[in-house]
Amino acid sequence: MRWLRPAILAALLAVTGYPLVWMTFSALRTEGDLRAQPFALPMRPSWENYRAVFAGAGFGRAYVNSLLVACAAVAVSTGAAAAAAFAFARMRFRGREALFLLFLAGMIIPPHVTLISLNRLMGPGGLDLKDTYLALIGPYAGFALPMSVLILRTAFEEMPRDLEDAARLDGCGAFGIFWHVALPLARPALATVVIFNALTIWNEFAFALTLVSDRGMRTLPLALWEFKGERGMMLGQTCAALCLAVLPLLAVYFAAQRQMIRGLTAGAVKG
Amino acid sequence: MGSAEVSEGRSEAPRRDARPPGDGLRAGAQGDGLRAWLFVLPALAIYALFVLAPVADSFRMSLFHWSSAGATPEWVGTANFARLARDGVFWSALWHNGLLLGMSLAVQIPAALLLATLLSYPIRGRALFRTVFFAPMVMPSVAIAVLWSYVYLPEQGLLDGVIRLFNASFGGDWLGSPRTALACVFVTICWRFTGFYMVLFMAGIASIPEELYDAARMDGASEWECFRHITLPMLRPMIAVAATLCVIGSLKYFDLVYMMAQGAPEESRELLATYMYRLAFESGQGRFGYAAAVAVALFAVAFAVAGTVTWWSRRRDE
Amino acid sequence: MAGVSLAKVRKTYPGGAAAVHEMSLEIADREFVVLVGPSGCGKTTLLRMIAGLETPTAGEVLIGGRPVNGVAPKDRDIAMVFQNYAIYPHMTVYDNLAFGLRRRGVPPEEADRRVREAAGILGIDALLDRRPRALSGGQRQRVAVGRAIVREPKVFLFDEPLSNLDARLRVEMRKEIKLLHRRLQTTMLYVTHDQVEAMTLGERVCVMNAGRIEQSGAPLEVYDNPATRFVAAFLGSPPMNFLPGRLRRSETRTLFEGRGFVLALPEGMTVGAEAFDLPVELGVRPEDLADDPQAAPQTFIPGAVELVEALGNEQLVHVLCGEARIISRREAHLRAPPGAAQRLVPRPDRLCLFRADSGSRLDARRRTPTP
Repeated sequence: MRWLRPAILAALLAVTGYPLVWMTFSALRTEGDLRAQPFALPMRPSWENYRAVFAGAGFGRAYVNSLLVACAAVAVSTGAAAAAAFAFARMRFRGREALFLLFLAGMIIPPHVTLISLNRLMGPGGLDLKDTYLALIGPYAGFALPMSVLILRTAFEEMPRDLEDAARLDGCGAFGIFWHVALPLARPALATVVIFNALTIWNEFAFALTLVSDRGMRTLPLALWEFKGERGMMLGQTCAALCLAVLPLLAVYFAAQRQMIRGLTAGAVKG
Repeated sequence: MGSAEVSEGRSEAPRRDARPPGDGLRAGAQGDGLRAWLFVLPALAIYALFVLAPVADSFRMSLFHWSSAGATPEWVGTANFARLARDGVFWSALWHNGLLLGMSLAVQIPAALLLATLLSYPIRGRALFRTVFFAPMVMPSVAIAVLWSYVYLPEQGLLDGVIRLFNASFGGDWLGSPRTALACVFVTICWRFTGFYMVLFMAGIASIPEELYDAARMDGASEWECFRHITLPMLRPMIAVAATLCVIGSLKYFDLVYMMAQGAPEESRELLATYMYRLAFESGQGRFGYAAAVAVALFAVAFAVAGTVTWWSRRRDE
Repeated sequence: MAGVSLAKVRKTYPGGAAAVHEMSLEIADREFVVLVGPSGCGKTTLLRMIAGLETPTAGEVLIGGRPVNGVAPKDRDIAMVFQNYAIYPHMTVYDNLAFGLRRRGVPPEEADRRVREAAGILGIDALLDRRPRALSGGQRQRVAVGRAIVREPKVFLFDEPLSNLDARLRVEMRKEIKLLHRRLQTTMLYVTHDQVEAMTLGERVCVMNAGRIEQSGAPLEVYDNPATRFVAAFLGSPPMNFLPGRLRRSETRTLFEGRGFVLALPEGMTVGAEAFDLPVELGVRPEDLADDPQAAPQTFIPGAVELVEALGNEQLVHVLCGEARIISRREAHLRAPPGAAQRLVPRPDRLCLFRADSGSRLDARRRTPTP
C-alpha cells in the first residue's frame, strides 16, 4: 500500500497537468502534423504558429489594455477600500454597521445581474463610456470593493490601540494615523488584496465582452475568445495564442506562488 | 489637520463622551462622524454607482418591456415574471444551477479533501503537487474554455484520442449533445476549482496539532481512524467555509458554461446567469426587460440561499 | 517644566460605569508620582485623560496651570510611554524617534541633534538603523522612552512601561527610569499595578481603588501607615495579615479579642469610642511578627507552623492560628519545624486597626520619621 498514495497523486497530477503540456507542445507543431498525430511530441519545434498569431491578432495591444485596466482598477479599488476599511475598523460613526453590511452583501451579488444596467449606463444615453478604459475600470473597481474592504478591515482591527495613541501623541490626525501607521502595518493584507483583485480583473470575461466592442480596446481574455472564434480550427495557432495568454501568468505564479495562493485563498479564510 | 482638530475639540467636547471606551479614534479625533464618512465616501461612491445602482436599475427594468436599445421601455408590471414562471428554459437553468451546486459539493470537496489528505503525508515534491493542482485557479477562464474545447473536440480531441487508445468508439459531439454538454463542462469546472479547495484544506490540516495524531497512534488508531476521528472533525470549520463558497459560487457561475456549451440546445446548457446574458445580448432582439426579470430571480435566489446558509451555520455554532 | 493638576475630574462611560470618581490631585513641577492600584481601578484612564486620549466627563485638567480639556494630545506638551512599547514596527529606530518631531515641524538638524542625544542617554546609539523586530524587549522599551525624551515634554506619562519585561530587565529599567528622572528633572507620572515599582520609583505614591485615590504620600509613609485596609493589603508582599475580632476595654488597657486569643493593645494606640461597638480587623505585617516562646499572656497570637518557605535570605513561616492563616517573615537561620507551637508577638508600634465593614483605619495614624 506504500505505493498507492504516490500513485494516486501522480495520476491526478498527470490529469491536471496534461492539458497544459499538450497546449505547449501543440503550439510548436504545424497544422498538418497535428492533424495526423494529435498527441506526438514536437520533434522539430516550429515557431510558425507564434509568428501567425503575432501577425494581426492584436495580442500586444490586448496585453497593454489588460495591464492598464487592471492597474487602474486595482489602484482605485484598493485605495478606496483601504480608506473605508480604516473607518470601519477604527472610527465610530452612525450607520457604521449597516454600511459595512452593505459592502459585505456585494460578495453575494451575482455580478452578471448588473450587466444589463451597466450596458445602459455606459451606453450613449448614460455616461457614454463604451469602448473606453473607464467602462471597465469602474465596474471592476466596484466589484473588487467588498472583498477588499473585508480583508483590510480585519487587518486594521489588528493594529494595537497603543500604536494609534502613540501616533496621536506624535501629532497625527485621523489621516496621519491612516497614512503613516495603519497602511504600512497592513502591507501583507494590501498585497493579498492587490493580488486577488489583479488576477480576477486580468482574467475577467463577461464584462469585457459586453462593454467593449472596439478591437483596439479589447482585453486579453476577449482577444483570446475572438481569436478562437476566428481561427479556432487552426489548432496550432490557437494553442500558440493560449500559450501567449497563459504562460507569462503561470510564470509569475510559479515565481511568487506562496503570495499568489495566499492572495486567492485569503478571502475564504478571512470571510 | 492640527488646528482644526483643536477647535473642533472644544466645540464638540460634551458630545463625544457618549462613546464606549477603547473603541474608535475617541477623543482627539472628535467629529469621527463627519471624518469617517469622508473616509468611506470614495468607496461608497464607486460602489453605489457601479454596483448598487445597476442592481436597483435591474429591479426597475424587470417591470418593463424593452425590446431594443433604441426603443422606449414600456411598463408591463409583473408580466415578465408571469412569463418567467411558464418559461421552460428558465426552470431548466435553475435546475442546472442546482446540479452544479450538488456536483461541486459532492465531487470537488471530497476530491479536494482526498488530495489534501494524501499530501499531508511526508512525500517528496509536495510543493510541486500543490503548485500544479492550484495552477488552473490562476488561468483565465477563457483560456481554460478554449483549451478544454480541444479536449472535447470530436475525433481530434484529447478525449476521443484516449478513448481510441482503448479501441472503444462511443465518442461523439461531447459539447454539442444535450446529454453530455453540461456534464463535460462540469468536469472542467472541477479541474479548475478542486485545487483551490485543496489548498484550503491543506492549510487546515497543517494547523492540526501533531500531538493529536501521536496520542491517537499511542492508542492504536489506524490511519483511517486518525482521518475519521481527528482530521475530519478538526477540518469541520474549514469544510463549512468551503461548502459556503461552493454554494455561493455555483449560483453566480457563468464563465465556462457560457463559453463551452454554446453549441448545445438551449434547454440543456443554460445557467441562470448565462440565460440572462443571452436573453439580453444575444437573442437578436435585446429582450432587456425580460432578461432583467431573470436577473432579479438570480439575485433573489442568491440572497435566499446565502441567507439560509448563514442562518444555518449560525445556528450550528450556537 | 510644569505641574499637573486635576480638579474634580470624573469619567463615566456610557451605560453608567464610572472609571474615575470625582478626583482632585496636584502634581508639583518635577515631581515623580506613581499611581498604583489593581487592574480596573481607573489609573490608566486617569493617565489617558491627562494625555488627552480620553475626555473627562466632568472636571478640569490643567498642565502648567493651563486648562487643557479641549486641547489635542499633541498640543499638550506631554509624552507618553506605553505598556506595549507602541513603537512603529515599519520604521527604523531613528525614524521612530524622529517621527513626532517631523510631524511637529522641528527643523531636520534640530531633530537629528535631539534624536542622537536621546539615543546617547539611553545607550541605543548603535541601534538607530535597526527595525524594532530586531530588538530585544529591553531595547524596545528604551526606544519607547527615547521617543518621549526627544520631545522634551513638560510632563512624562508612563503607562505600565515595564510590565512586558522579564523580572531581571524590570529591575534594570526601573533603575534607569529613576536615574532618568534625576537627570531630566521633569514632572513624571507613572502608572503601575506593581507595588514594588510604586515603592521604589515614586517620590509620592497614590494608591487607587475603584476609581478613587485611597491614599497619597511618600512611599514609606504609605507603607507604614496605611489609611485603609485596601492600601495595607495592596502594598507589601506577602501582604499584611488581618485578624478579625472585637475590641473590649479592661481597667487599664484596650483588649483585642480574636478567635481563640486575646491581645492587649499597646499603650500608644489610641482608639475612638465608636470602635468598641464594631467588628474590627487587626493588621500586622509579616516582618513585624516574631516568635517568642517566653511571651507573657495577652502579648502574643498563638498558633502552629503549617509550612515554611525558605527564600535564601529569609524565610516565610505560615502559621495556622485557629482558622486564620498568618505569615511571619524571619531570618533564614531561625528554625521552625512544621507543627511547632508559635507565640507570635507583634511589634507594638506597627499594629493597625481597621473597621471590618468599610476598611477604614480606626486607630490614630502615627508619623513615620522620614529616613
